[in-house]
Amino acid sequence: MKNRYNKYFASILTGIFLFAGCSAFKPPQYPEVIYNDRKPLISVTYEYGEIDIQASLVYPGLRPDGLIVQVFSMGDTIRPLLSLHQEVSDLIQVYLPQGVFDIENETNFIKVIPQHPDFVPVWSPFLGIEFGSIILDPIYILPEPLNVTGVVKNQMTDSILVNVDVAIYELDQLLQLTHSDAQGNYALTILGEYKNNEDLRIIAGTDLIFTPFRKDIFFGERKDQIVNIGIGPSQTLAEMGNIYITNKENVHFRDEPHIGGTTQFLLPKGEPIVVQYVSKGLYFGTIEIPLESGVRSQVSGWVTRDDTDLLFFENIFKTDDESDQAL
Amino acid sequence: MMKVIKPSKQFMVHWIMAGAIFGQISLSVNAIPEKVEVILDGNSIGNTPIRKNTITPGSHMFEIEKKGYAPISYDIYVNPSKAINLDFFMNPIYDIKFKTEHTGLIFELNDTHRWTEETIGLQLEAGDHHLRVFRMEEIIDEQVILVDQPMTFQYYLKK
Repeated sequence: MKNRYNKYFASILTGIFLFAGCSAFKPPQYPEVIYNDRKPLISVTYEYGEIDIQASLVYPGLRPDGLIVQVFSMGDTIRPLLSLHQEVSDLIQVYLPQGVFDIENETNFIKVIPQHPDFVPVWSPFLGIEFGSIILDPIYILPEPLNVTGVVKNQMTDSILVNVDVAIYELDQLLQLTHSDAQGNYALTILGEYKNNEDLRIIAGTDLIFTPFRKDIFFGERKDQIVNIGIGPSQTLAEMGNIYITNKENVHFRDEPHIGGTTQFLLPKGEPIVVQYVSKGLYFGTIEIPLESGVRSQVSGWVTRDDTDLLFFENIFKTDDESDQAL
Repeated sequence: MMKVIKPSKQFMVHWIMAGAIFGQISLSVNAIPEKVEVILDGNSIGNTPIRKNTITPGSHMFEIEKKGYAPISYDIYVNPSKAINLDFFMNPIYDIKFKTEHTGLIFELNDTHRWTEETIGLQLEAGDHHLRVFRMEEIIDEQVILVDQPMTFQYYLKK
């Protein structure tokens, strides 16, 4: 009986096993994955590019004592990305990380500040890149320019003179030439390296019939000078009588009309002279001599009549056939 | 006084990589385990390891899924750079057999998943899980279980 029962039980078990397989013994399975929301381990590594900026520096004249190089970006001209002090060299080279520049507009700048009072900072704008090399055009490091400005006037009438040549010379070497504008103003600019030059002079009105205006100038610590130019005879002189001007170079201006008179000056062509007395073949008249102080001193003497022409004010500019005057 | 020097039109720029012209960043992606499909902003960019792909600066989303591992969804703001390399270490999911001899208990994992069976198969992400045990809606036990391999977890009620 027990044996039969065991067989019966074994048959049932075998039946269940065959019908359901191993799964009949598997425990139930929870229907979804259970996460603990642990943060995954993620490593992010960037490789940044580098921006290399190079610019050669050119010093046409003096060299400063040192340089400060600053780099600005995104139109910010106050807070530099980089500021470095370096010795005077012919090349600046700076390195910056990627992504600091405006790559669409020229709002990035290199500023070179020469370490010397005679120099001015130089700004060089450039277009940025993501990374790589930027080679800028040469940057010229120049001393602060020297400026001369003023107005050109007819001394006799005090009216402005337009289109009168005004030049600055170092001895006989022309440095800069300009002409007075419609308001009689002129402006000359020369390199700052001439600041201590003692051989500079302004010459104006070489195109006029009068003796050109001449004045020595010295800058020193003054970067800007005003030199107002008066051309022609002064009003004081004009009121003394008829005005003649010398018609050639080296006209003898003598203290006495007779033989034995001393030549006081050799007058240049275009020198105004107010004639007061007339003698046979001679004029007695007065000229003005500008002194260094600006005062115009009057001196009287004799000139040969043939060496002078009566001055007409209709046209004070030279005609084409008249040759240039000596400086 | 400020003097400005304008750069010439022959302003020379040397690019290190052609990709820089378009603001592209070199992208490489690695993952553990290997050969995981990487979805970038909804588009498959292949299986790891990924080399010589590119990505633009800005916001992006990476999605990584592989059977047997917890999926990863990763938002990133890619900085302007030359290259970026991402390494994903996926968290495995282990088969855990949970057993207890006690009856009438309710088990709860991570505040969400509940069961009452004395024996049950679970798929658990590797790491710590917070287990609570209730009887008649009353917490009678609370513990953290660490899952770091396939295992059978035998629960005994503390006395």
